Amino acid sequence: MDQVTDEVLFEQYRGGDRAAFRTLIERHQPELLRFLIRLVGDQAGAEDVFQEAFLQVHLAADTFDATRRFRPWLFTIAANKARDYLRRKGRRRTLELSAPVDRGGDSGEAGSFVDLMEVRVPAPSDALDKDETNRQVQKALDELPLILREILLLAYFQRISYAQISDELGIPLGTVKSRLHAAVAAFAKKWKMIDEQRRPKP
Amino acid sequence: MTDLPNHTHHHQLVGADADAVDALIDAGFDLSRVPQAMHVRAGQAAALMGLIGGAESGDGKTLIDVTMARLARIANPIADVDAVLSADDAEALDAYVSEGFRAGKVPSSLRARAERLEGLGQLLTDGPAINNTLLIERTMRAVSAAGRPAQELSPARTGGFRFADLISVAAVLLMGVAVVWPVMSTAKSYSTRSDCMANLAGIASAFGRYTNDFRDQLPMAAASFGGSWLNVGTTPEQSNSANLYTLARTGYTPLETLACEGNPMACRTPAAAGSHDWKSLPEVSYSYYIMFGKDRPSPVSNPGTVILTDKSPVPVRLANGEVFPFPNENSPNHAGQGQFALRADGSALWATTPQVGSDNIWMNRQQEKVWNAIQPQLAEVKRNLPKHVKGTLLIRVEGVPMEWLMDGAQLPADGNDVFVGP
Repeated sequence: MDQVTDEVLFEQYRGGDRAAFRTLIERHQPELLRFLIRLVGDQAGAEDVFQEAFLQVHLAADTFDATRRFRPWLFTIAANKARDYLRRKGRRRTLELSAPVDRGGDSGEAGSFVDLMEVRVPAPSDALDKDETNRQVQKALDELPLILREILLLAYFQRISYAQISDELGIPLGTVKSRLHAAVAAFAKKWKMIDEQRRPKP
Repeated sequence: MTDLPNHTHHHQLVGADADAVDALIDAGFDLSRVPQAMHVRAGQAAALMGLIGGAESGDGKTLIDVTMARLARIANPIADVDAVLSADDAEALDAYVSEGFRAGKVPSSLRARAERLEGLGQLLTDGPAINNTLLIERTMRAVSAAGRPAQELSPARTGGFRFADLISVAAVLLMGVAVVWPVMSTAKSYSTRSDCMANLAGIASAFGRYTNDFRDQLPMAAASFGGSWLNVGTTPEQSNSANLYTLARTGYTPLETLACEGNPMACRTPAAAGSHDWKSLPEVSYSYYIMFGKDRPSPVSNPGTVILTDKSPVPVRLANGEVFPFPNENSPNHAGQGQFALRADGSALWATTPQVGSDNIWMNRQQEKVWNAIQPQLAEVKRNLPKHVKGTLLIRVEGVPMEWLMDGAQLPADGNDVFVGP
């Protein structure tokens, strides 16, 4: 099925075609919502941010440079709205405040190396409880600092290059690279811990 | 107590400062991990908190250090933020990204690691399907409610007309007189608009010359003010319209330029030689930034602030005895379709609602807050109305704060708070 591109749809919308805007929302809803749930941490908040993001897209329609791609622009707007939402909500959750200072006794592990070959990722054949996995992934994500969580999700959901991320976020390429490295390392390490805890030892 | 810079006078961090403090906390109070763009502000924030050198060692410093360190641990309770990819993994990640997140395309020596990266990605991006037509409906409604955003007037747009409109007007005229009447009113509204645009150009030029001569100050009629700025035709100290009239009185623009075709009571010649104001509210065509406050915009410090608009409908309603102005109403100048807004830098825009950006031009910031605060209840009331009910909704609001009422004492919050009248 030959689909009209996002960019063409957006131009139609700018020309007054409201149905085109709806098509854009419908097309991006599944992925964008999942992205926001991962970023914000709960579905209700993600839905609010989803709405604010498209509202911003509508309000800023005139500023969109037609030579750009629509999807990365949408995701950047959404990430910014998510950040605003989290700040308004008060990101420091009570869970963190009451948590013991040294979690898991990892006090000697500053600068620990992560070796991906030691990390187990679920295979499609694994008969694991999908809901449980989903929850654990979210828990691991919630513990990452927002800056790392953001770039990890932006990279994986959009599958774009460092250069494109650098363009969209307005940060230097080197920073994108080092940040994503740190984000993957942090997430991999957390996932490894969670995975080891939940699987029975062979 | 060490000497702290002026930041402490702000009770609320906004914008870039808030971002910088958040980034600092996210980075575990390690300045080297803060994004470059925020370095300066984050550094200032950190200095404020006595974390880095430069602040004198005072009695409070140790306590500050301990407190901040504790906060840092709370903000990042897990030391895992220090996790670092092994060199092979870093290489694999770079290759994986450059191959468009496809593990299969990565060089074979790195493939196993890339597959791990892919697996991690699936953990992130997979999830239960979320069927959400309700969300889509809500979003479309929010977008519809927002209306068309304010349109910038650029040289590319020819005087408010679109070429297609001219064509359709001409075509209908050819088709017969019977259809002419509705078309004529459309044509008239366009001619009113283009007349207004010409006025705005003249006004902008007048403001420019005035501020040039008066050290970047926008026109004012009197040095000190008292009483209500709503009063037109009284003493200059009690009339914001006299402030605008100054442009004509001092010869920077003829009075005609300050008369809009859409205002049937507009006057085009001064009533008397020494007039300092229009005689009454109906004669006024444009609403000017309310200059009674301490903070006034200037083209230099607030180029983006709107300083003049088509006549505000709010004082008109107040003059009719209505206490509760409707902030979403458009100017009467153009049959309620919208209003022009002129910025301090001379640029203009056509706004189809009184909302320009996040600012409602008919109200000051305090009033906007009150108005925003009652929106949920208003929406609730409207939702619960029976469908066949039509007409104007009259609302009685109990306990309305005094700041909400418009009686001429209200002022802009600062030089960026667009609030025009009368």
